[in-house]
Amino acid sequence: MVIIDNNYCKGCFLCMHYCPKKIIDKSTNINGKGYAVPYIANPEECSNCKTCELICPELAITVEEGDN
Amino acid sequence: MEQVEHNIKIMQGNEAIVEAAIAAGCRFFAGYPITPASEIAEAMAQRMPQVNGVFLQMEDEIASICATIGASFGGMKACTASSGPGISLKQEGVGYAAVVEAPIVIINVMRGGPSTGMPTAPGQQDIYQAKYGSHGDYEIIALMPSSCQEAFDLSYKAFALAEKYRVPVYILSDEIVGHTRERVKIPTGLKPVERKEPPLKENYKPYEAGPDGLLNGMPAFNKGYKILIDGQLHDEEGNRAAHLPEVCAGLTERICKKITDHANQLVDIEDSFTDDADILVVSFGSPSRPALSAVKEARKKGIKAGCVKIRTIWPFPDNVIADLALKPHTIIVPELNIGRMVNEVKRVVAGKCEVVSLPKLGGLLHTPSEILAEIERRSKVCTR
Amino acid sequence: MHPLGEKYIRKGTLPYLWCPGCGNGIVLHATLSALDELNIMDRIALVGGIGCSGWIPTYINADTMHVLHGRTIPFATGLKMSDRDRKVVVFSGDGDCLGIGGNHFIHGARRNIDITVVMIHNQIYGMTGGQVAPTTPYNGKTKTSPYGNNEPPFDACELARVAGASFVARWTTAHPRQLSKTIQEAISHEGFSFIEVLTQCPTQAGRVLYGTANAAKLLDMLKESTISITAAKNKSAEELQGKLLVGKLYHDECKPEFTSCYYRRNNAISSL
Repeated sequence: MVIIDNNYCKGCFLCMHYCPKKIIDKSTNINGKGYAVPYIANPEECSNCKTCELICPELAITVEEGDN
Repeated sequence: MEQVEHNIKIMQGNEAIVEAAIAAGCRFFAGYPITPASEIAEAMAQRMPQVNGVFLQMEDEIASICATIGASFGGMKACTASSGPGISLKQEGVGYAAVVEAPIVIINVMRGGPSTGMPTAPGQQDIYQAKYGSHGDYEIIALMPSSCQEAFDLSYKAFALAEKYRVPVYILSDEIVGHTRERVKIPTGLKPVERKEPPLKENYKPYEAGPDGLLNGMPAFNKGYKILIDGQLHDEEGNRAAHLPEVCAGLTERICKKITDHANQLVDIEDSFTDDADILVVSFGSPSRPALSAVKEARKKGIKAGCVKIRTIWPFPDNVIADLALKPHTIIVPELNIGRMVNEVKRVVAGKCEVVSLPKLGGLLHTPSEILAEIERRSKVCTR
Repeated sequence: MHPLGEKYIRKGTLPYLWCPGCGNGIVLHATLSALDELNIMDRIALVGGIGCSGWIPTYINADTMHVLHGRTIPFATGLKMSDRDRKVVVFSGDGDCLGIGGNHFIHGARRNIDITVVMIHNQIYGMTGGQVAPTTPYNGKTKTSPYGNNEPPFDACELARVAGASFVARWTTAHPRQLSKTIQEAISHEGFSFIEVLTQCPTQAGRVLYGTANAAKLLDMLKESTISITAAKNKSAEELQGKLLVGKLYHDECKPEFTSCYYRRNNAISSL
C-alpha cells in the first residue's frame, strides 16, 4: 500500500516515472507549498516493491504491507 | 604568598608550552612544520604518545586547525600551533571555532612578516590578526608570554579559559620566547583543566546561554546529546537561522559580549614601580624584559619610571590602563611592529597623558638602553 | 512522513530546502536506511561540507558537524582520532571534495583512516548558481565556462584508489537500494571508504549541461550512462564505450587502518 504524504511532496514525479507497474499518476491537486502532487491511480496493481519510496527525495512516500 | 611545591626544569619556551598543554589535559595536537614553531610539534610528537594522546602532522595548516576543532567536539582538549603564514591559513578555522564556540588553543610563535617574512626572527605584528584575522564579528582571548615561565603558566591558563568561555584562545608567543632556554618552575600535582559536561536532558539545547552569555559546559559527540554544530549562524538548538535576523544578531552579539563583558575578570597585568611613576612603559611579550631593565636603570638615575606588562592583550585591559594613565605624563609603548598596540593605549588613555610609540622592526628586540634613552628623552621634555 | 523520517530526522527541519527532484534527498534516505540497519546512531558522527549536499547530515538527528568548505575530512579526522570507536561519515559535494578540499581528500585516503566519504557528484557548483566544477564534463557549458569547459574532469574513484583508499564504490541516485547497501558496507569497513554518488541536479546541471530540468529524464540519463561492474565483465570494449562502471570497484580488507595502528603504537609507548 502506497501512502503519499502530500505535506512533503514537491511534485518531482520520480515516483510516477520509476513505478514499474505505472500505478502512480499526476493529480489535479495542489499542496500547501504550491506543488502539483501525484496520486495512486491503480492501487490494485501495486506489488509493494518500494521503488517509489526509495526514489522519493522527500521521505514523502511510505509503502506498507497490504493492499491499497 | 602561597608556597607551591614545584619541579625546576630548564626548557625552551616552545617546550614549556607543550608541557603546560599536557599538564592542562590537552590530549590532541594537530600541526604542520613551520619555523619558529616546529619545536612545539616535535615535542608534541614525542610527548603525546607517552600520555596516550594524539599527535597528528596534517597535510596543511588548514587541516590542522580543522582537525583540532573536530577533536574538541570529539571530547578532547586540543590545540594547534604555527607561525605567520600558517596562522594566516588557519583564519577561516578560527572564525568557525568562534561561532561554534569550540574551546581550542592556538599557539602563534610570531615571526616577522608580512608573508614569509623573517622566519627565524621575532615579531609582534600579528596582534591585530589574532583579534580580527577571520571575517565577521567575533571575539577571542589572547595571552602573551615574555618568558619560558610565562609560556608555561599562560599556556596552562589558556586551556582553562578556552573551556570556561568556550572560545578559541591564542598564545601569542614569539621567536625569542620560543627559542630561549631558561628555568621554569612547574608546580607539582598540577591538575588537568576540568571540562564541564552539560546536564544530559531531553531536548538539550547546545547554544542556550546563561545570563552571562556563556554556555553551560561543553558537550562531546556520541555522549547522547545528538548535537548539530554549524558554522552558519544558528539558534539555541544549533539549527540554521540565516532567515531569522534577530536570532543571527543575538548570536553575533553574544559571542562578542561573552568575552568583552568579562574583560575585567580577564585582566592579567604585572606592574612594577607604577605607584609614583611619571613615565610608564607599557609593553607585552618579549619587549617587556628590556623595558623592565630600562625602568630599573632609569630609577637609578632618579627618573620616576614604571612599567606595565600586559599578559592578556585581548580583550584589552581598558580600565586598568586608563586608571594607570591618570598619574604619569607619558606612556611609552615599545613593540616589535610598526606601532599597533600603541593605538589601543591611546584609545583608552584618551588624552589623559602623552602616549609615545617605540616601534622596532627588522627582527631585533629593543635593547634596554634604547628604551632607557626614550625614557630619558621624555623625562627631559616633560620636566617643567 | 516516512517512518525513517519520524525516527531520525531532526524535529521541524522538513521539508528539505533542496529543489524539487534533487538527488540529495535520495542519498539521505539511503543513508538513513543504512544507519538504521546497522543500528549505529549512538556511535556515529556525521560531517557535512559546504554546498547543497553538505546539508544532508544536518537533517539527521545525530551528532553532526556542518563545517567549512572543503574541510570535511580534517574535521572528521579529529573526530575519529579523539574516539577510535566512533564511526564517521562525511557528506561532501564534488566541488567541496575534489576542488577546494582535494588535498585533504587524497591525504585522508593515503592514511586509510576509518572515515566513510559519500561524495555527491552533480558535475557543477549548484548552490552558488551553476559554475564549472573539477568534475564538469569537457566542453560542458556552465555560468563560468560559457564557451565550454576547457578542463578534463577528475575520476574521483580512480583518484581515491591510487591515493590509498581501501574501499571504493560508485552508484547513481537511480540505484537507491544498491547505494544504501554500499553505504552500510562502507561504514562497516575499517579504513578509508569512498562512495561516489552520481546525482541529478535539475536546477543547475540539468538545465545548463543537459538541457532539461526534468529530474526523471536526468535520472534516466544517469542510469543509461552507467553499467554495473558485474554486467561489464562480459562486455566488449566497444560495448563499454562511454559507460561508467558502478558498483563496488575496489575493496582491500587487509590494509592497515590509521587510527587502530596509531593507538596500537601509542599503547606500546604509554605503557613503557
